[in-house]
Amino acid sequence: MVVNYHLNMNIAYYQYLQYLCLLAALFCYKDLKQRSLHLLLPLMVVVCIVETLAHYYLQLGFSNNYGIYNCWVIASVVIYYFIFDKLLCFKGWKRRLYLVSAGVTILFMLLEFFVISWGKYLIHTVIITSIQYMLICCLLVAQLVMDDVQPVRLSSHPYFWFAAGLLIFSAGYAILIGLHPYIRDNNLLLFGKRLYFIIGPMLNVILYSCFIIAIVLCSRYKQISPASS
Amino acid sequence: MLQVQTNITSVIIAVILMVVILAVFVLVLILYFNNKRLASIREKELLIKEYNQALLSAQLEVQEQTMKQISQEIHDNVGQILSLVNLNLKTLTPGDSEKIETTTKLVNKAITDLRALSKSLNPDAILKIGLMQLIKNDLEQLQKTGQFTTSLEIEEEPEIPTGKLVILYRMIQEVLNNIIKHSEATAVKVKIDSDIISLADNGKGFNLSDTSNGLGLMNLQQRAKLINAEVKLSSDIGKGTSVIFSLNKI
Repeated sequence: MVVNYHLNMNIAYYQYLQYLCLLAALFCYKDLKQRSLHLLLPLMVVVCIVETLAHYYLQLGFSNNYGIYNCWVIASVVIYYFIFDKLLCFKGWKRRLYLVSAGVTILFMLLEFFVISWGKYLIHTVIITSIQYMLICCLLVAQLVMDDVQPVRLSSHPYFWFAAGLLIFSAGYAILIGLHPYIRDNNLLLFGKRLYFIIGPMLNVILYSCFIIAIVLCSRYKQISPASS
Repeated sequence: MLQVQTNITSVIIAVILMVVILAVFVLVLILYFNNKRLASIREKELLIKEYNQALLSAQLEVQEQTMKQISQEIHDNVGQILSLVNLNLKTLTPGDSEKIETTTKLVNKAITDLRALSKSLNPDAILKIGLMQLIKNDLEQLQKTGQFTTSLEIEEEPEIPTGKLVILYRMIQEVLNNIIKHSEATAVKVKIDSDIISLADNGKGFNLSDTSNGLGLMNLQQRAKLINAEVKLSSDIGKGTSVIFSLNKI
């Protein structure tokens, strides 16, 4: 039997932003590296691959796209922890605490992936990591604000936009994913679409727009710094 | 059933929107306060820069004033003494012990005056000599001209930080210079207390609302602001002028 799949080439609007963000990260990789944000590139590569595969999961022969999104969750959690480790520059007991909490979360995630929710979406991991991201983003912004040695204008600092995007995304996403089983089981719809498919893309737009701004600011910082020094 | 689902959907959307809006609000608030903090830091830096510039300019002016004073001192005092010594030596006859004694006294006076001049050449002279002595010296200089009678009353010496001393002294010098140049006064009184320095003359006075005097007054007030002092000026035509420096906030 020959199955002739008709590939639907229409991609979601937020995916354009993800590709744009990937391109920006690719072109500004050197600048990102200078600002310790170079891990945004592998993150965006994972995001773009996962979103594209998840979009065509039926054509690829999967019954659902949870497995694909779970791969994204695992990869993104690890990459985000590395990014935050670079940005926060914790030392001593703070760093040890950070590494322990990251390690515990990763262990929990693997446990959920292999044991608790095999074949299901990693809802608990996503909720826990979203709350962690919110806390860490607040910490990052607080660090920027309280820097008395070199006071910075937050609106022109890439870390602020990175943290702001992730904070807003995580705040919305934690609730949305927390209610995911409920929304799915009760088939809650808005404009004929599942709630998840309406709010999720909006949060994605906010997140990747902020990332693009952060990447652009990284390259601008490089242009400004030699003249100002 | 559909109505219930719609209600639940609305609640979920409202909650998510509220959380997102709250996060945005917090971020905007942080941005706002950070901008305010930056503005205040910049303002502080600007004030420090202005203060340093004013301090430097005051130091230069004091130096200039000192140089003028030295030049005048050499010309009018040491120069005169040495000319007299020269004349004495030319007309000296053997055995004229009185002339030798006078000449020796003159040479000693020249040496003392030169030592005083040498001290005033030191850039830290203001700090070393002290404000009270400097004002006293300036009043003595005025007295020496023969055009003014001066009086100095010190009730309690004010404690002024060394960084602000130069600016305060420069302000006092400026007031004394104005008295010499414009007041047509014959008497100058200076009173010093722990938190006040007042200078008064019996000159022609002026109209405070006259804008031509505004620049000098503004200059004084700007300098006073730099050291947290206050300047009060009072004057009436024909009744002299008085300037009071309040030092209680220094």
